Amino acid sequence: MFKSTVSWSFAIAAVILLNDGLIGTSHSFNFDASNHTNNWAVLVDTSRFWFNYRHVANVLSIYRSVKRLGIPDSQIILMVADDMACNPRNPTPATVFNNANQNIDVYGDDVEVDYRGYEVTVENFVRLLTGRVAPDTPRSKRLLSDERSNILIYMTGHGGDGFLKFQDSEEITNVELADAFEQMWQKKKYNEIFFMVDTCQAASMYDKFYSPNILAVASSLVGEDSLSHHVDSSIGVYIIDRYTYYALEFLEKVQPDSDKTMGQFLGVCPKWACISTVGVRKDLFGRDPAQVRITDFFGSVRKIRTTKHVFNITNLSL
Amino acid sequence: MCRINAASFVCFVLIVNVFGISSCDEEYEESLRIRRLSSGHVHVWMEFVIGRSPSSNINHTSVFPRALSEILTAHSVEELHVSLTQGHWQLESWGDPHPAQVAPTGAHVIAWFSSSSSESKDVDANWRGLTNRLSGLTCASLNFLDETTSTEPKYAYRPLGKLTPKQVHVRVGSLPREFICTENLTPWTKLLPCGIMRGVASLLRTKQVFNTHYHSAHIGYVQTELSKQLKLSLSLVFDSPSSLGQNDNFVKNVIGSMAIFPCHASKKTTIKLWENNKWKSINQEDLNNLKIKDVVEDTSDNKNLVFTPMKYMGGYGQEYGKMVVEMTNHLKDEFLSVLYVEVLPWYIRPYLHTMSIQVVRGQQKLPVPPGAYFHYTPGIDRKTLHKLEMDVQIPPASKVTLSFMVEKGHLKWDEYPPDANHGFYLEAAHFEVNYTKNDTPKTRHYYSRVLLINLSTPDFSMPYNVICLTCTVVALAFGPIHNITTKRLQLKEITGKADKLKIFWRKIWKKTRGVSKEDVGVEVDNNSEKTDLRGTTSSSSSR
Repeated sequence: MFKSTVSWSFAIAAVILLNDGLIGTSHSFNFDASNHTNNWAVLVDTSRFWFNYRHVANVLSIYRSVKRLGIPDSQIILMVADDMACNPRNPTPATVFNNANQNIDVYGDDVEVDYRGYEVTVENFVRLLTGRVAPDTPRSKRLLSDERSNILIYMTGHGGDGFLKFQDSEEITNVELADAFEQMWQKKKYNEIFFMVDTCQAASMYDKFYSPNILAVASSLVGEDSLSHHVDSSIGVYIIDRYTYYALEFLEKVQPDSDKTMGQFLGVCPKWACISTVGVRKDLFGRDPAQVRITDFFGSVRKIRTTKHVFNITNLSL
Repeated sequence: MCRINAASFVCFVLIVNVFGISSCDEEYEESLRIRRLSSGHVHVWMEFVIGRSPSSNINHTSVFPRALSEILTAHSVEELHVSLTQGHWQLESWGDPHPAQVAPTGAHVIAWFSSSSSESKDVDANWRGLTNRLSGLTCASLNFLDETTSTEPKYAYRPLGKLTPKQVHVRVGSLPREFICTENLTPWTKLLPCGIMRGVASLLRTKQVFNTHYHSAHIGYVQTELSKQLKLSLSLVFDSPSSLGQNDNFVKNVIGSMAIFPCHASKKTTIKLWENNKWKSINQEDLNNLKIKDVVEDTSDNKNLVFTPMKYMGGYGQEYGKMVVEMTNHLKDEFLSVLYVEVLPWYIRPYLHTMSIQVVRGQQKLPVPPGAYFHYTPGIDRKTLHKLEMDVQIPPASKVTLSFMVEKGHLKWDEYPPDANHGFYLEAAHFEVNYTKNDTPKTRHYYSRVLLINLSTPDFSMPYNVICLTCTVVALAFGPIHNITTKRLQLKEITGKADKLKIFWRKIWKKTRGVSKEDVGVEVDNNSEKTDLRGTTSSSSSR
């Protein structure tokens, strides 16, 4: 802790952390510049009970991917409504697999769940998004994003036309969700949002959005069911949903310095693979998804550049 | 930089604060104990102790986890114990968990707070703040512990350390249902100076840790005159390795790790193996080469059992139950003084007047020895828990059976959890056992199993909603239909004196509005009851 009276007038040669997009001049490929400086992820599984194992596998698949691509645990809010990994019915404790061949343990050895069990409620979720949490809430349970944050919001569970069930006892409607996003926008809590939802009639969840800079993708259109991928006979239940299964397959090939785009990601899981039709909503989003790096939402890579200019800190307006 | 005396303390703090010099008065030690239990299971207990001088600045740490030290300072915590446990320590087959202590299933938090006054308001706020922050630190739902779900014991849970402030308050809370998994172990290992890659903790592999019969992680913060200590410990009971090859490597095949790697931050690493009823020290190299046959079974039939508790719910039906607690003294020639603590949620209401105590030795019934104290705080619906603390004296080699009736309350429909049909967990009963061994007084803590009970839960499914709606419609329709079909309407003159004022006003009303109707009343022929339809009592009997 330095005293405030200590003079700041010395000049330093600064190493500035800036997003590549801010400087973005010297690249040969043609990406839209992004204004974000930090990345957040809010990953929500709303389903309880063992037979909903696949929803936990879904959310952990995305968790694994964003963590691998560089978003730190402190900037991932993971909500899981039930314990699958250490469930007494799980024959291999402390694991959640995405595949009956047990290729990828999406739970892993290093995981931090922020909201779990009975804490996963509509109220907590909306409070988290809008920042209206109780004063005692620890940092790990707050979405401390700002107007330069790109936020990935992923939701999975059982839904219907215009709602998503939480814990089999309550539900969030698409109107409530749209209003929460608007409140986030007014409070300058995001730069851009990528909203992913894997549930039945998922497209109804983004229908009511009216705030700017939101790109949304849904696993199924209104009137369609979202389907699971396959059963693992050793655990006796469906292991993962189709859309997230193929999304994970795509994301596994993405590296932190990847040139893959959101446009490519939106094409994941065509109808012959998903059986449901993947819905996309781009009209609120200011950029062309084909020009947006996938790591703008799934990664937290910031290019570090050294500068030889001398900055006088006292003259900087903070 | 370690020179601290009273006069220069302020100066020291300033120096440390301004220049950010790390304090060097912290010590870190780790130890590992391996014991084959008489049932064949293997008990592995690891403890990590971080000590610091009591006068050191809590904001400056080298190996002491700063995240925790900030929480402790912010909420005036003097002593803290958090345990996250899955499974139940089976005293009868495993014996005492020497040198570890038994922990109750689920999450359990005990905290002492210093307070400026004897009022406990600021303590409640500190307790709420502490549990919320600990929930962020441990990834467990400890934030559900607040003043409505925790208690302030009068006799139980005395501090292990020496607390200097005059006003200290204790809070205890338990979450019997809390599940423990990698998400709790990950932040726990991050409190260790060497993490999970080095030191004794390098033996931990999550897939093995959670494939055990019992695992219990503990975070303890204790202050003594000499130091402030953070004790992190982990107790694991692995499956019996008797089916494995006796020459196989112990670390690899039982614990599931490759080897133990040294942690250089640790001042001392002790590894001990239980052999022939005593602890034998071995070094890290010995441990890495340990064979399964080297970890010999505890052949002595005597498990050194002192006390075993048992708790279960008897009775039938969904309205009442009978709580039965059995406490057995295994010592042959000594009385046990047991502090029995029962905490029940508000919706399980104990009927203390039905409490009965029986003492038996074998088949012989003994007189009930009087206990020194009995303290009961009744719960208030939705506000506080029921808390019972009583002293039970158990004669040598005998069993005390204590039982009382409970009433199972009803919850409001929105108070049920999403999986109400799973049942409700009652936290483990706590037993603080005092006895003397080799002329030294000893205190040990024991816990019963947690209970899973059924309350009368509504069927939250679609038919339930339909039944509710239909019943409402039928109830609303029944009243008017019953009235119409069973009551006869007749005209009646109103002549009562009390109505004179009303009649006067009605006359004025008639004149001003020009209404020329007769002032009428209605006589209802409903057996002997005569009512005025304008009155409030009309036809209410049929609803």
